[in-house]
Amino acid sequence: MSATASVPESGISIQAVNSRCADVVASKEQLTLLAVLATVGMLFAGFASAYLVRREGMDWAREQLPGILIVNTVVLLASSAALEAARAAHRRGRSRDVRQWVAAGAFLGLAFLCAQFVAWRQLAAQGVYLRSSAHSSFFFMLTAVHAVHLAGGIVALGYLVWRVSRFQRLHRPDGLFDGTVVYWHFVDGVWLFLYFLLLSY
Amino acid sequence: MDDAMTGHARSGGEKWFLPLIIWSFPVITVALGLKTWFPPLASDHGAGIDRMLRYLLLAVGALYVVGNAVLGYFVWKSSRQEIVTARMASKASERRWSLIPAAVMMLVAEGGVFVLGLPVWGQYYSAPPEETLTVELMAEQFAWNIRYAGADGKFGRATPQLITLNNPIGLDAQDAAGRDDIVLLNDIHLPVNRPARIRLRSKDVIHSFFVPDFRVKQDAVPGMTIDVWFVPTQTGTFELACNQICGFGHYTMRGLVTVVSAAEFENWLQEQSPI
Amino acid sequence: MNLHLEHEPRSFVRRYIFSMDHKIIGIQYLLTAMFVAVVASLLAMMMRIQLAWPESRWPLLERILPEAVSDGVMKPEFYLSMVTMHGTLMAFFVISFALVSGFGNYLIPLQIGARDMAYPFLNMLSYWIGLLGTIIVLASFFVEGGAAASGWTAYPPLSAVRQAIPGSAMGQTFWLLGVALFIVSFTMGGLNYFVTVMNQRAAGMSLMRMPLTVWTLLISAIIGLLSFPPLTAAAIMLLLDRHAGTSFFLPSGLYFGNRLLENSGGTPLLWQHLFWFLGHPEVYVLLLPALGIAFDVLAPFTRKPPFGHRMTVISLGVIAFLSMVVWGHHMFVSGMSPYVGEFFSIGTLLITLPSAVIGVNLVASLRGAAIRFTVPMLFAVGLIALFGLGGMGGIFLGTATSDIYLHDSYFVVGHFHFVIGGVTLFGLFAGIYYWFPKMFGRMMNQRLGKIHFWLTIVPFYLLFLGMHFIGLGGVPRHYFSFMSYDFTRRFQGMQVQVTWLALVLGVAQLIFLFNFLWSLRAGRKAGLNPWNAASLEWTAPSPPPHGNWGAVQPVVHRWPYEYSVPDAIEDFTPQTVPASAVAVTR
Repeated sequence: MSATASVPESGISIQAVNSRCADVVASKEQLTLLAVLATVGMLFAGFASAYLVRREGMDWAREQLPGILIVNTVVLLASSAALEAARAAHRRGRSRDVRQWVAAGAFLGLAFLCAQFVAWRQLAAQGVYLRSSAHSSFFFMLTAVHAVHLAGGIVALGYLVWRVSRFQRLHRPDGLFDGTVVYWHFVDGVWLFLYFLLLSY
Repeated sequence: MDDAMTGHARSGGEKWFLPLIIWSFPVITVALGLKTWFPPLASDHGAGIDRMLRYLLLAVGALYVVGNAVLGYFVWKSSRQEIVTARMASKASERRWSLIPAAVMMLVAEGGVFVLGLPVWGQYYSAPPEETLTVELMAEQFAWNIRYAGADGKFGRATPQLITLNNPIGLDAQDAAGRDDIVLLNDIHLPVNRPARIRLRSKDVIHSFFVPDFRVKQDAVPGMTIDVWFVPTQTGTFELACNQICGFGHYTMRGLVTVVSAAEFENWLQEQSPI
Repeated sequence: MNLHLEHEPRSFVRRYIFSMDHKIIGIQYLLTAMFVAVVASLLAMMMRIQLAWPESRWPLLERILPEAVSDGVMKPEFYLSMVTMHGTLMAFFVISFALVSGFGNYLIPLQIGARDMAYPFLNMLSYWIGLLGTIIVLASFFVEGGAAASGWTAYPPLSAVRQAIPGSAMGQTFWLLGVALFIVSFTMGGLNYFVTVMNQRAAGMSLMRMPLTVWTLLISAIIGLLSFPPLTAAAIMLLLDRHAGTSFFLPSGLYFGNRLLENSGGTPLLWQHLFWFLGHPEVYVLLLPALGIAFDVLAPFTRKPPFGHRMTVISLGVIAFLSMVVWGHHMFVSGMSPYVGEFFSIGTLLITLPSAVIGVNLVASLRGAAIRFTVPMLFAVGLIALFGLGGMGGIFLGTATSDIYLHDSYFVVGHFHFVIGGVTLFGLFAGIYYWFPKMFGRMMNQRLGKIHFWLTIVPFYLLFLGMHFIGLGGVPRHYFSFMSYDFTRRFQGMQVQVTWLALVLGVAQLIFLFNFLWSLRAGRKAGLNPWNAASLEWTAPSPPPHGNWGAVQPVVHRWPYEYSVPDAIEDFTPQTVPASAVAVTR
């Protein structure tokens, strides 16, 4: 049971009694996370199936992908590690550390995006563009769509940092925090999957 | 009871009209269903398709009639009583009335597919026999380009790079095999009772090769070469229509398939001049 | 996490325009859908007039859209734009907007005892994004080349190559953007529905105590969330093919305007797979809520619980699952492997099993009942009749062998109008007549409603039944005129009859529109529970205030179908009545 105040027409403040059904098994944030992961997962599944179909084509040829992508991958993995550190700090109630690790994760994510952009430029310098080949079309499109989802994650991390700074304390449990970290790991995983796909013949 | 419940069973003609309408629907449907709608059959496998269609009209039609009869009856009966006489069925009854419709559908629908449908489907997509005549078809906005292999029985090389207004399928003049190829517009001739394979291609958008009398329908997809084969069993002239939205002229892509005796076909082929 | 009750907004703009209240948002969706329905119906009337009387002249159209007409006669490419837009607008911006978004938003919190959706701000965003998508799609009529004209299915290369048809110039791009926004809107809504239903139910409101309307909306949200993304992926790829020179769907050798295009390697079939991966579940997203509403309208007007409630819930789940693995039945003659076709055919026909269970349950709900012939009840019963024929027609198309002949014929047009235009529309009407008093505190006029019903069901049934038989004659769809072929021309007489029926049907809807608008102002005032219904929303005021339930959220003790409980004084028992007062039958 939980109570929140509401101010109706008459101006008298009353306690509004809110109650929840006993068989609810997951929190709002957990359910939201599930729906988001399922939807985003299906999006990349759609792209991946298109890629796999196209890869069977007679004219398929894989472009040489810039080496910086390996660095990007490591940076992204590091960002996930930073968020795991943030999670550990959260468990110990160390709000300062949480803020620092979340910010680190966000910065590393940002660094990943910048480096992805560098990879794009490197390809362009070699004359490889969106329309150059099927493989390059998929490369640019998939990295762009992934980047958009990562950017969303960065915005969420930024909000978490702001929230800790503003209120100087941690909620427990913090569904938004847990959910965002899991989402981040998921987008990280999607990158690994896409990278593997784009590298594989 | 609130005044808004003006739909009390006693008032209004619904207790007459609603069951009547519900019963009349299947009557109208069956009456229409008894008429002849299919074009005359002119192919071998087409008999299997017609059989499938007739079975479904009968079986599914029967289910529909029964379903509506029962629905109409319940509406009739229930609109004439003031209180509920069958509030909730037992668990056993609910289970039974789930099993029965499921079993019936399994039998009628899946049964139809396995017994009548798949054999015809398998035949339609099977490899054509030795003596099959191959005719190439290149669909375009908004016409059918037809090609016969000519006396040498070989199709010459054709490539999109060579397409021009006068060379609609891009025949390569360098290729000797193509010298005797016969290219026509919207005109297919076939010998009766001999398997014919139409090799479908498209030059621009997806079209669909549809000859209603043959019960043949197959999309022609750019970038793909798709074969469809059948055996024409009647002589005559049959219309060929495009069956996949392909642009503003989609409704005008009329071709003619003329089926003649083997001898007449050979004569006709001789008479055609190659490009 | 606590549900935070928003302070009730004061300004008109906050209350009725940029509202975060699920009830207002639901009504916004409903009203938007009604407006688009008028446009889409007009398109249909124009299409039918052109088909029946090919010599028709269109002077008014020529004034509004000069490119659509040439020498007073409609251009075939404009006809195809109308076909495309009619389908797109109806499927997404009418039926989905009205049934899933409109009723979903309005009813879910009220029927589960919540104060609002889990994310009211996201909810508001979903409407405005959806509205933006609507405007973009409607605007496409006025761009260069006119509205998209490749069918609602937008198959490339026709939709990808700008010269393939005028609508593929800019209209198709607007179509893609508008539909993409619709998908974003739907996704936000679907997320809200899922989280709200799974997390915000009031005390005692277990899943099996939810009305079937909520069940079907939940299931629609889930399958929508899972099946829209591949279409989003495909739409992005199509946009790139159109504007960035890629070749996702375009093979080499494409010849347009005396030029060979530079594309190579793509395949049009990829679009079809991705589109229908959404396209098939989508029709169940639209259909299921109509079935849920049917059960929920039958109950109060038969004064008994629906038959086989538990089996209905299970069948709905089975349909939802199966619907996601049978998309290939739209592609039997596409050039797809025949083995894959076999698999899809067998799978598709499995859907007849749970569908038959639901059909039987609907019919059996009328057995031993005490019927009240209100307007919503008429539409609910009519829905059952339409579901029967529509579902049966599906068997012809799901069987690959018969589909060889019937694919893309008028049989298909007849079939999907029965299910998507008939069952869904009747569900919508049943719902509107039924919940209008709750939404607006007034009754709609019952007499006008009954006239509307009869003038709708008879022409609807006859005209789309007729299309099935025209299809059996082999007549293809998407044809601007039937005069080019003997085998199509022989049905011209029937086509004219179909058109007359369609015109009657169209005009009859004006009765509904008038009734709706007039009743908003002058309908008889409605009390809390004008239908003596037992589900939870009828315990809230008509219309409910912000927060729905006043000071205390309801506590639920029974399922929503407690009618004619033996030995009870009243023949209905609201969900909030405790077991100590009246026996709980489920």
